[in-house]
Amino acid sequence: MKSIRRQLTLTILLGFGLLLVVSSVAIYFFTRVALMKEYDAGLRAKAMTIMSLTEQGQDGIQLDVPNDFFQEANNGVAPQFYELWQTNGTIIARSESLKNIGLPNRFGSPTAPEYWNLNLPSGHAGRAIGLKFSPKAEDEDAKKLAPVEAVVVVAADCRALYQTLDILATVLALTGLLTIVVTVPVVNFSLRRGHAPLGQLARQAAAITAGSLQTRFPVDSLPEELQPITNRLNDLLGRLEESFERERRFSADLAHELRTPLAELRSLAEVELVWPESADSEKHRETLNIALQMEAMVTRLLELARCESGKISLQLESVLIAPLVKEVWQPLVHQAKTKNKQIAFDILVPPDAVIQTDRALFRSILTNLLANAAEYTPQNGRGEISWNRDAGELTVSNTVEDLNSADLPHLFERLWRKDKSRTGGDHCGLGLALSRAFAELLGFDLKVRLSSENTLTMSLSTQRD
Amino acid sequence: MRVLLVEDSQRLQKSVGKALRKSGYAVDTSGDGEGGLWLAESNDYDAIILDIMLPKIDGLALLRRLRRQGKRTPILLLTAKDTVEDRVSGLQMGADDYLVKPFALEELLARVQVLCRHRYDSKSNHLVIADLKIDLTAHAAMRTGQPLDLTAREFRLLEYLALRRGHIVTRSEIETHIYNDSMDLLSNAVDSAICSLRKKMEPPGSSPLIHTKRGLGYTLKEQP
Repeated sequence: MKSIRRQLTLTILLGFGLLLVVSSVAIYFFTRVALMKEYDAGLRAKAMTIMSLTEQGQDGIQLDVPNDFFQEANNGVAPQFYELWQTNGTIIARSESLKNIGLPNRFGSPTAPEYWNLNLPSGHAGRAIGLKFSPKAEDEDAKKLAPVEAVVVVAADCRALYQTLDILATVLALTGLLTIVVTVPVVNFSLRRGHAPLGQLARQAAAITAGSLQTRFPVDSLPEELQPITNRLNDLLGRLEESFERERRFSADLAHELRTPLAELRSLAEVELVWPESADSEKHRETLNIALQMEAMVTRLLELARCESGKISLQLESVLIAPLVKEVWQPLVHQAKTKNKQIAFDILVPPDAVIQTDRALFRSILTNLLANAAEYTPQNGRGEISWNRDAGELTVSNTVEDLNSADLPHLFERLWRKDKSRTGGDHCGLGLALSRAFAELLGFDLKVRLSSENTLTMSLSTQRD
Repeated sequence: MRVLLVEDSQRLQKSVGKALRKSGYAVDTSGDGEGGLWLAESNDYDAIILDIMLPKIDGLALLRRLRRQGKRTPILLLTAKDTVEDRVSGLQMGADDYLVKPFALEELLARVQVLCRHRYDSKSNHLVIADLKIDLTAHAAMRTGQPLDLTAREFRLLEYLALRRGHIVTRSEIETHIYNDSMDLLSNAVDSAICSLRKKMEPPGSSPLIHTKRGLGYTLKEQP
C-alpha cells in the first residue's frame, strides 16, 4: 500500500543522503586541493631557495646550501629530497637522502614549475617539483660567461598529507553516516507529527455514519494545507446530507401515499370476508381501481428513477407540435366533459411549429402539463397553450384557485399536492416532477409563474440561457 | 350507538361505514372537514372517527374547534401519519384514540366500541342488571343463564339502554343513536323494536327489566 509518510521519509533521506555525499566529496576535494596547493607552495619555496642559492661561476654551476637546509629531510618524519642538474645532465648537487637513486628529471619554468606524484626512493609516496632556470652569475666576471641552465627537482614525503586527507575522508564518511542514522527517526517523527491532523481527520471521517451526516469537520484548527480539502469534504457532507434527507423524505412520503390505498384494499377485503353476502361486482371494480392507482404511482416512480439515473436513451426527430397537442388534449376534454366541467381552452400553436426532440418524452411532458391544466382549472375557467417561435418557448396557462406564490417552489417536488387530503384518486403528485426531469433530459427548461390574476403559467423553454 | 365517520376517501368511507352499520351502529358520513364539523355540531354522536388530512378543514382543526365548543364526544383519529409526533399532537389536541392506516377493521370496531362505552362512563366489557348479563365484546346477552337471540340492532338497543340504566331514554334518543338516516323510520319503529326486545328477553314469568315511562320514553332497571 502506498504511504505518503514512507514515501516522504524515503525521498527526504535519499535527498539528504545525496546532499551529504556531494557536500562531503566537495569538502574533501577542496580541502585536498588547498592542502596540495599549500604543500606544493612549500616544495616551490624549497626549489626557489635552491634556485636562488645556485650560482654560475668560473668553475661552473655551484650550489651553496647551508648545512641545516635539508636537515629535517634526513631526520624528520617527512624526508625531503632534491637534485640539481645542469641541462647537459651533469649532477651538480643532490641530497644525501637520495643515496644512489636519482629523481626523475622533469621540469617546468620558474613561473610554471611542474608538479607530480612519485614513489620516493624510500618507497613512500611523495610529491615533486621540477623547474629549469638560469643560475645567476657569481660575480662580474661570471656574467661574461656563456649562460647555462640548470634543473632542480625537489621531492618530499607526502604520507602526513595523505594521512590528513584520509582522516578527513573518514570523518566526513562517519559524520554523513551518523547524520543519516539520526535523520531517519527525526524525519519519521516530524512526518508523523505533521500528519497527525490527517489521522485525526480520518478518525472523524470514520465516525460519520448515515445518521450523523450533519457533522462537519472543524477547519480552523487544521494546518493551512489541509483546509481546502477539508472545506471540500464539508461541502460533500452537506450535499450528502441534503441527498439523504431528500430520499428519507421521499420514502416517508411514499409510504404515506401508499397507506390510504392499502387501507382501502384491506377494509374492502375484510368487509367482503366478514359479510360475504354483500359482495358485488362494484367491489371488484373498486379493488381494480385501487390497484391501477397504485400501479400508476409505481410506474411513474420507476420512470422518474430511470430518468434521474440517465437510463433513458433519446431518439431525436422533428416533431410537429400542434398535432401532438391536439392528440393529447382530446381525451382530457372528454374526461372534463364526463365530470361536467366547462373549460375554455385555446390551442395557439401554429400548424407548422416544429421541434427537434424525443417524441415520447415530449409527449409525456405535454400530457402532464395539459392534464394538470384540465384538472386544476376551475369550473368555467380559461386556459391556453401557445408557442413562441422566436423564443422557442411552449407555454401552458390556466386559471387556478387556492394557489399562491408560496406554493410555486413545491410544485415540482415529488408527491407534493396542494390539497393535503389527497382526495383526487387519479393524481399522485408525480406528474410535474417527472415533467421537469424529462425536460432536463431533453435539454429544456421548465419554469412556473403565477400572475396576480391567478393564472398559472408553465413555460417549457427549448433554448437554454 | 351513533357514529360519525369523516373520511375523504370514498372507498374507505363506504367500506368502514358498511362495517359499522353491519355491526349495529347508526353511521353518518362526510367526505370533508366542513361537512364533518356541521354534522358533529348538529348531532349528538357516541363517537367520531376522524381522518386528519381532509379537504376544506383538516381533521386536527375540526377536533380543536369541537373541543373549544365544549363537545366531549369521543374522537378516534384515523390517519396515514404514523410518527410519534403526529400521534402525540393528535392526542394532545383532545383526541381519545389514534389509529394508523392501513388498519384492521376488527381493531377499528373494537376501539369504536370502547369509545362508545366511555361516553357512558362504563369501563367494563360486561354489564349486569339483575339476572341480565351483557357481554359487550362478544355482542352476546343472557337472561337467567339463557342466551338471547338478538339481531345486531336489537343488541345495540339493549346495550344503549343498559349503558344508561336507571335513566329515562327518549324515543328520539333511541332513533338518533340506533337508526341510520338512510332507513325509512316508521313512527312506531322504536316501539316495535322495544316490543321485540321485550319478547326475547322477558319470557313469561320473568320480571320485567324494560319499563315504559309514558310520554317520556323507556328505562332499563331492576324492579325494586
